[in-house]
Amino acid sequence: MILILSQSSLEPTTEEVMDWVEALGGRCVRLNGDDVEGRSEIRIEIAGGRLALRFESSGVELPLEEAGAVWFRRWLYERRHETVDLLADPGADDHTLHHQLRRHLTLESRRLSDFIFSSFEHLPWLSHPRRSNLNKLAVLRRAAREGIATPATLVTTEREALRRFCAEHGAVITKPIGEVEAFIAGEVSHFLFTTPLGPAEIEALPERFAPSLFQERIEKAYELRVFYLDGEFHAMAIFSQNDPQTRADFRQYNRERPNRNVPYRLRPELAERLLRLMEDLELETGSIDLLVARDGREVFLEVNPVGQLGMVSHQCNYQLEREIARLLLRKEDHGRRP
Amino acid sequence: MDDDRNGDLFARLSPEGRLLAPVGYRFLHPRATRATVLRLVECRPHRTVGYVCGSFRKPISRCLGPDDET
Repeated sequence: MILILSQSSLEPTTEEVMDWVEALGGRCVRLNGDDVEGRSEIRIEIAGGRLALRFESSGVELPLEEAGAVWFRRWLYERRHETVDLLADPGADDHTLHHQLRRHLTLESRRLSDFIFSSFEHLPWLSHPRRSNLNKLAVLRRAAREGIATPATLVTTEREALRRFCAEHGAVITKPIGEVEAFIAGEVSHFLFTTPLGPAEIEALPERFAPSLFQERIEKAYELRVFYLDGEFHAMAIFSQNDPQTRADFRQYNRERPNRNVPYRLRPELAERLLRLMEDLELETGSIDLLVARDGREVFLEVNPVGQLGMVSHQCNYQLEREIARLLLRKEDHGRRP
Repeated sequence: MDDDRNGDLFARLSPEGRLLAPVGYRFLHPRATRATVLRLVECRPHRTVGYVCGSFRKPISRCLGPDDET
């Protein structure tokens, strides 16, 4: 049986892989991060050297002891305590207390999740939570060491340093050092996309600001979204450049007139370098973002170990969900061997 | 007034909050929070309850049930 660690929302890929596992004759059980956050009954007993891990959902106990391989897809979008007021009647001075409560509950939740993951360490895994949160800047350095082109990058708090960077590299973009986020305020969501900065916007900045990431703005011919799975690359070209809405970031989707997306074959030399990078990062899966500049340079942007793959799989007919199911079943089979 | 309030999140930050926010926070892209269902997920009810939705709030899954045993 395949144990799938996932999340309950925004995760149709998990559903499709589960269907393929079953269609290929396997069985799977799914444990969502939010099941641990109160949607399931939990009993974890440690008595001497014995561990009993019990999750019960809708009166059905998950047969975790039958798991023969684990797929770490995702885990939690947000924790319950992060979205509720923890104090019944917060006073004006209670901001710090509220923050401390939330921070402690987050640490408790992380420790519990880590322990649950560690209890399946003896099984073969596809993707692992330890390697699911990469540092964007560290990955850029590693990619450059493999000889892959990367954008000139600056992290600074100083407007003057940004000016000098622009003088050397031309136009710039800014994006988060970590994750893209959407801040939801009532009827409006505020997205942190990749944003180009013009001279006027840079001049309007204060002399000093919070540490921020800037990169040279590369005029692209098209973007590449590549899903890596167990030594193979499945690539798609995204023609986002001709639409002002998607020019800086294709995730500002134009749903009325979507970008044209086509299957794409990576040059063997680039594929070899990317393969070395993925092996260096100890990743078996990952969504890789690259762009192809107008001068032909293939520029690496980032890799997300648990990134979306449906858009590449469906539009290019790669059937990646089936390939993941096959790989999981092979891992389960290998795990059974002495 | 509400539109203004909702349209510029950076303007709603306190002076200290503005100092602590990276430059990207000054250029957030506002968009109506979509209530549109992106994709119906038609699976067995014990495994999937609900649908995937742009609001990030809709539950969709449940775990193993009796049907999976057959």
